[in-house]
Amino acid sequence: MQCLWARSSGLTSAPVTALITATGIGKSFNLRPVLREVSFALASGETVLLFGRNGCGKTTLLKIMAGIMRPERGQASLDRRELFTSDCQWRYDMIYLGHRPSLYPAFSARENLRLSLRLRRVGWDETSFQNLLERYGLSDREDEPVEVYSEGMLQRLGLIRLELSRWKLALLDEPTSALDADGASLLGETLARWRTAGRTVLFTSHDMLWGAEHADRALHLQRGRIASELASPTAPDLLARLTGET
Amino acid sequence: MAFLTILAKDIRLELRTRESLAAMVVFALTVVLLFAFAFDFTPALRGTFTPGLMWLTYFFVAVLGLLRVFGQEKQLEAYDLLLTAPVDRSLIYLGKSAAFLLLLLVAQLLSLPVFVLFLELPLAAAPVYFFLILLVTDLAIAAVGGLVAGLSLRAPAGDTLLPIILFPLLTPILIAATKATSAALAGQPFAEWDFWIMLIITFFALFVLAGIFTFDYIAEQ
Repeated sequence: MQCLWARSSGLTSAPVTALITATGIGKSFNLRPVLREVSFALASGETVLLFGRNGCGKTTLLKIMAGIMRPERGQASLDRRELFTSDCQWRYDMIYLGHRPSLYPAFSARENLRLSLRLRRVGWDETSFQNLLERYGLSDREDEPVEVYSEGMLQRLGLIRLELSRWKLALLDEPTSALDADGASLLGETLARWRTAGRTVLFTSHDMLWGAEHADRALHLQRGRIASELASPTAPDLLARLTGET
Repeated sequence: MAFLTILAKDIRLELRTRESLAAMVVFALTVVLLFAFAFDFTPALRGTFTPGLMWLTYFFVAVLGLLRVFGQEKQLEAYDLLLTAPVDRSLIYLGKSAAFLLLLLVAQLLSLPVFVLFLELPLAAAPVYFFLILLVTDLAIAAVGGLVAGLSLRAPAGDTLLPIILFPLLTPILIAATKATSAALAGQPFAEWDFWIMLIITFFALFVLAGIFTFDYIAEQ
């Protein structure tokens, strides 16, 4: 993807064709600031890794961007629409997959996905559903309640939800945490497809090797700020940043 | 559309698991049978205490129902699905409160015969007024309960927080419902106890408006 970079102040680079921009995001828990002044921008079609040590605020930042948490300060916009307002229209363009895949245990895969799509006003396509079940290795399990699924199967089902939905920006929190090698490889292929389709992905991962392999860029979250960023990151680069944290 | 989707989802979940309704009805039956057999009420005392006992029982039944209806959103972080959906959050409040209202009504209808049989609740004295009071009170309980349950859902130790906040808020509704039920079943004319109905309706209107306008903020952490 061609992307022109406009170097703004400090450490963050703002893509000229930014799909999403966040400025000065701040959030505290029990008066302890977790995010101080987080600013970043993502371009259409970018796949970006957000990395940092445990507790640095990666999940908090993703939840804020997804509208699950409210920031104490800061602004963000998606496709020129302001976030953190009561207007819910921007959520059509954004989708979130957390540590746990946001599913109702008593419902089957089919029921969960139908519900999700109905809420997002997307029609049901049985052929696509069956194809995706096949691709993600969940064939013949679609009518079982998902409470009997393993963590990895739940994660795969979460990815099918993303595949069936319409969105411009996906926020994925540790998407490989429960996946086996085959699942992680499958997700890698999916990320490549989404990149080609011009879809933007911001994901977190503690697997630096996998993260570096699939990210166009990496944002290092440290002490509540984006401390640095790396274009075309490599695993040694990422590990060096992490081990260099004081 | 989203309202109906959320309402249908909760109804389908309940039909699938039947967890909430079973707990609510069993609790109500246990309380009624306990009072019917453990205490030797005279008929005069029964007439005085039964409406209050009934509403006290339904008060706790309502808490049980709220904990279940909103608690199922916590498993597998299902609530995030609703929060990240392009849906006006007031519809989440209304949809879940409506689902809870239906559940409460069904639990009451299933347990009401036991109040009539074992505690001699004189339902036949004023059935229309009785069900009017039941419906209006349930609407108010659902309006308050939906708001408080939505608040406690995102809070640490929310299950503990729910009854602590809910009990004081529901107490005026409980008093009004007991007064109105006692008066209606004693055959008093509506004009003598309409104040209590107005009070319940006021609570309902205030909390529904509060829910519609604040749920967007309440729902987020």
